[in-house]
Amino acid sequence: MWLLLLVGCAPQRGTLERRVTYDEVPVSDGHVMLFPTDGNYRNASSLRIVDGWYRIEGIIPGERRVSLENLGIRSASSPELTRVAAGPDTYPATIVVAPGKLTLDFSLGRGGDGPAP
Amino acid sequence: MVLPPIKRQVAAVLEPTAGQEHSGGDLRGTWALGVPGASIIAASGRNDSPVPNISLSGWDDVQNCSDDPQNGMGCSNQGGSGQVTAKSRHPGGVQAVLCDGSVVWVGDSISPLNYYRIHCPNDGLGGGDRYE
Repeated sequence: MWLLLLVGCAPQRGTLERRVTYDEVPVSDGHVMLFPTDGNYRNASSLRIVDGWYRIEGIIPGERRVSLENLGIRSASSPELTRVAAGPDTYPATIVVAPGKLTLDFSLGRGGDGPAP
Repeated sequence: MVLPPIKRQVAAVLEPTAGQEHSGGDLRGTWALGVPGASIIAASGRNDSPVPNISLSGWDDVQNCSDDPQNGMGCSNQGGSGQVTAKSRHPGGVQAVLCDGSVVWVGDSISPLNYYRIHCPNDGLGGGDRYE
């Protein structure tokens, strides 16, 4: 009975979290967005990146297209936000979210064919 | 007068909603200001703002907006003013005025492609006969 209860309490949603850096500098601001590849946008997820960290909870399991938007970097020498554009080849185009916690660091950069920031 | 279908199928006005904070410079939902979110709605056919009545964090892109996804007013103020999702207090969709003056109901279940097409005036493509 105890075992059955434990199974019943297993998380049905996924959590995705950790670092976002651009050329090894923490990304100060921006959004991590996850779009269901089955086209059901009601199950999309999005949260803000704060000082190089992000955490998205409550993701309905499934395949997601990843989009990183409105990224910006601040530094001690330039407190104004500097916009950066992540090359599409510097992060995974799609991921599969399963129930439970998934750690995914985004180590971004301009990329091979990406536009200048 | 019968207008060509292409004209008829372009949305002129869709409903926006106002946030709770205008004092911070969030212009969404205000009338007669020519910026996205006030009198202009724009859609992204691929990423955020794909269909009506979803507004997650960072969804709209409006300068000086407040990111308030809990109240359906998700927004990023980092990307300039480029797009806003049409939103309403009606369950299931938004009202839209087309360029011939007719009013249609755009359902939440409209495909992102059709939703994008009805925003685009010169692609030669309408939203089809149905907006749901």
